[in-house]
Amino acid sequence: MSSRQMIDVEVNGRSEEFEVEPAETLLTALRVRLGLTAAKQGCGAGQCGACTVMIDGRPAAACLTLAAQVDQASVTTAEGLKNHPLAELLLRHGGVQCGFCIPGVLMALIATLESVADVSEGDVRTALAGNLCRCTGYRPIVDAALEWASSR
Amino acid sequence: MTAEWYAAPTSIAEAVDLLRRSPDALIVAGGTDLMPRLRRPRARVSGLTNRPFVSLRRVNSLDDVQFCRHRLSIGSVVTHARIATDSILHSDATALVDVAVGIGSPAVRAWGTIGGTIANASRSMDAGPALLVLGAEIEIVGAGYRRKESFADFLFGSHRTSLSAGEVIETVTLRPTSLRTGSAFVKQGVRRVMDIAIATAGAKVVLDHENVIQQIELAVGNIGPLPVLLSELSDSFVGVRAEDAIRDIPRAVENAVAVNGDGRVPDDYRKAVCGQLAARAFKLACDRVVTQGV
Repeated sequence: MSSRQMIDVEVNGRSEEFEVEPAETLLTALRVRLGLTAAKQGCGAGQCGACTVMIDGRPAAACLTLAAQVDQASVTTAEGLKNHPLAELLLRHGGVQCGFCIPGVLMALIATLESVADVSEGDVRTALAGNLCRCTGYRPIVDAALEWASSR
Repeated sequence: MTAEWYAAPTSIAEAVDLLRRSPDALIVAGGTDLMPRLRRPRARVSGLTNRPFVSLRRVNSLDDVQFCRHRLSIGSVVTHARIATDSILHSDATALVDVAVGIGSPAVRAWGTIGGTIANASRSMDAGPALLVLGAEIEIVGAGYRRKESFADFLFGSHRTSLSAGEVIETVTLRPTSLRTGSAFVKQGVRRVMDIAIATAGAKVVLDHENVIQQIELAVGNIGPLPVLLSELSDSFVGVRAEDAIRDIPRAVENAVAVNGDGRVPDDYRKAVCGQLAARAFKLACDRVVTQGV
């Protein structure tokens, strides 16, 4: 069995085919092979949420996912959001300070709440449970998410 | 982090065959427990590095919840997110739903699996007490055989189980519930989410129409390497009215458990938390009997 593996994955709507190492994480594949640096390497243990992406519509920690595991899957990173209204609202509410956590925050909120009706503050905080932000104290992020949810 | 190769079989037979030929392969399901372990400095010492991966993510037959041979059967790659929202489990395995709702973050719940949780066998796994009170059995497939054993027998210690090289967990099965049954799981950590609990507790109870306990199972977790089913103590509450039991459970549990803590909090405190949590889980289980009862 060959060590490296060819994967075929849809990233932000584009079909990509490339070889990965067996133990390579999705985070490394995105950042190093594809140059998509929105997802950040934070804790490397699924605790901080900075690497959150969407795989087949579900939130995922890219640092806990083997690149080989997304073969035939669809991956969305913050780069794939284009001009998402939530991104604009995060800016307007002052939810972006150093910005390191923001791509992960965006992906976690969108993956969890995009299709939920009547989003409560509790829903937003549950969706954000796995994302650490050391700047904002979360209030502006929660406000932005609530405005986004109620304006849809 | 390195590995020799990666394979993603699509059937249990194929997975077992791969594992027979490469007994040193690591089984990866969601990866949410395994990946952080592989990245720790002691992964090399524990012999976890540079081994092949066999992923179970494509084995669709393992991703199923159903009633099977009078038991509730949960496939090993069923995720916590699915358990949290499954309608069968909501009525018949509420304690396990409580566990699933509270594990990690949405991203961990979306990919972490029930089989991975028990195979990883962390001493701090939330699922322990819930699976004990629900009478869980583990069904395991190897090359040319299958076996099953109780969850209690399956667990040997922290990160140690009866699973041998070449074996795959197929399902976790639970005892079916009868009328006037309720179950619950509660935990207490420093943070409400994303934390390792100080202690956890599970309860399952059958009450009669006078709220007298007909059957009761209590279990606690995070007090040592293994979750503990408090069978003898539970039996002593059979025939007792539920409201009297709630008063007496904390002290009884506190006296019954031996704490072999991890040093994050004093053992006495952990013991006291255990007692309170057991009573809380019991109360919640009783409330569910009333709300779901006939």
